[in-house]
Amino acid sequence: MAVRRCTGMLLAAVVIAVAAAGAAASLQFVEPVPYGKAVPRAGGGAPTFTVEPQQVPIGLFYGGTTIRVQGDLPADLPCAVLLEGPREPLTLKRKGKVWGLLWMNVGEVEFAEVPTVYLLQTSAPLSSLASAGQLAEAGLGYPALARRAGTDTTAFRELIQLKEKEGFFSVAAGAVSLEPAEQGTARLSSAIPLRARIPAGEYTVSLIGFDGGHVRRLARAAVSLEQVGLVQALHSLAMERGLLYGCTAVIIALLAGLGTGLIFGKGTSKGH
Amino acid sequence: MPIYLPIASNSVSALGLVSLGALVGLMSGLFGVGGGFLMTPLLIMIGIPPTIAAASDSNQIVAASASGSYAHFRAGNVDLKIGILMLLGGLAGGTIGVQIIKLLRALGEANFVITVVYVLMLGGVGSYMFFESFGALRGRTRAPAGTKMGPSVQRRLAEALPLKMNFPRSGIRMSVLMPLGLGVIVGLLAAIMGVGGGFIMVPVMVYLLRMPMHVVVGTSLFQILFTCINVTILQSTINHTVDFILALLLLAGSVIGAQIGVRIGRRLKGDQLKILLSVVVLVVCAKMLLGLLLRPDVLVAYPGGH
Repeated sequence: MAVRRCTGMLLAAVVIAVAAAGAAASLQFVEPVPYGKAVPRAGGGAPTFTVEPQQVPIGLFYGGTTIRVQGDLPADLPCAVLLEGPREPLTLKRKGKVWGLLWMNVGEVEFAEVPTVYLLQTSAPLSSLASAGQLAEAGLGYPALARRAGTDTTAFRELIQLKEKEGFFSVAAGAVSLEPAEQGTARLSSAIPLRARIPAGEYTVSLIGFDGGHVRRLARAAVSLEQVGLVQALHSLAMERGLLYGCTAVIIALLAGLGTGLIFGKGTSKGH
Repeated sequence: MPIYLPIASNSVSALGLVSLGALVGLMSGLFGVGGGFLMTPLLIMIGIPPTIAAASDSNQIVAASASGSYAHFRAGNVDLKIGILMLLGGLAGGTIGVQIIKLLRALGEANFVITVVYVLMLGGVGSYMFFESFGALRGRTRAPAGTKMGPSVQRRLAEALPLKMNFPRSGIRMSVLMPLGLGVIVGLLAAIMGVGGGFIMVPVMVYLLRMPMHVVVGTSLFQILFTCINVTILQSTINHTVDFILALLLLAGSVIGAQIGVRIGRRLKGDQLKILLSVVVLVVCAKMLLGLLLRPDVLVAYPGGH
């Protein structure tokens, strides 16, 4: 245990050094997961990991962004990069046939725990990297999420379809590239596209290694999406002072409507 | 150009929204309907959450109907007396309608009943309007709208009612209870169906109140204006679902579209307008029916939509 903690501290020290050297800030290595060995170290170096950008401002012209993840890993260590939002209970409407004829909302389906956002990229197909049990325990892949959601698989499959369509969920095998680098290390790079509809909030990017079938969380960094400027001002006005916001919206709409009427009305004579 | 919408939390094409607004505004000025039946599903399609799409659309309709009813008012096509009476009835009907929905929900299968009634009504009203105006156009090509006064059940009922009043703008004399009572029914249906009510209001004024088509369009827009002001403020205060940037882009197009719609409408005869509107109503009805009959892509949905 003491050895493991030492390794952790060493990793943390490296990270701080990397951060100080001008890489992305607030980088935090986590202790190796309880099962399995410590992170293998290649040529005396430890894994490094940068995530950019970590602060994403959402302004009036925001149209989504791309989170770039880079790092140096021991060679021959397949890995995954996961951008995840908070896990929450979720209730959806369930559609079904009424009287064997019409498709309508027929009830609700409740999921115990679903991440708001789940974007997983791996260097190879997940099933080839670890056993189903290990993946489930680490919460990697849709089957693992389904288990935590606690619903029947049909309902979860529909949820995945809905979330994938909106860009909130994706699992992309082979999207993480590992290029051989010097001294038995590999250079990791991955680009996670974030669609504009992913809402403001705090997200976590994790780097996960698969060491001979064992799942290890190697590092973690926070990514924060924040509304700024006019977007932020309008949002807080709408949420905090609804009546004022609604009345202003109506008055501006009325002025716009009547103003256009006046402009257009000038050129024409009175109708019938 | 992408623009980020603060409440809908999504980025959309600004030009796309302005064009969409122009199209729906045109229909609004032409037919006297709010256009929510067209706008809300299109907004949902481009990635706006259903509740926000509906609420922001009502904000946009305030602008479009203000623009349209002003133009109609100048042209003498707004019957203020009937409009205000129906509006008062509509407010009462809306309040009762909300209670009825609660009751229906408690009984279960409310969605099914509401949807089927709505589709049947759209189909019925659309077909009746289409064949009636088609016959009128073929039979008496120069027949001015609103002069066909065939004695019918509702006509005789209307004549039996007390509190008669003249409505010079529409050129009719009827009981005050007629517009008031029909307003209640329209408000009731609008609340139950979850739509603005233009589709129900226009045929009611044309066929039950026997108002001339052009005055119907102007008066309907005048009422929609007030209904949507009310809805916008309520939605902003209670549900916080009005996205002002979204509404602003839509209304930039719709205020101009509404003016063009009014101008096109002036060149058309009442029966031609009715035929066009009936085609729109039938298309909407067919689209709803298809949506009910075809298996949806995804069998789960976020709460709040239809």
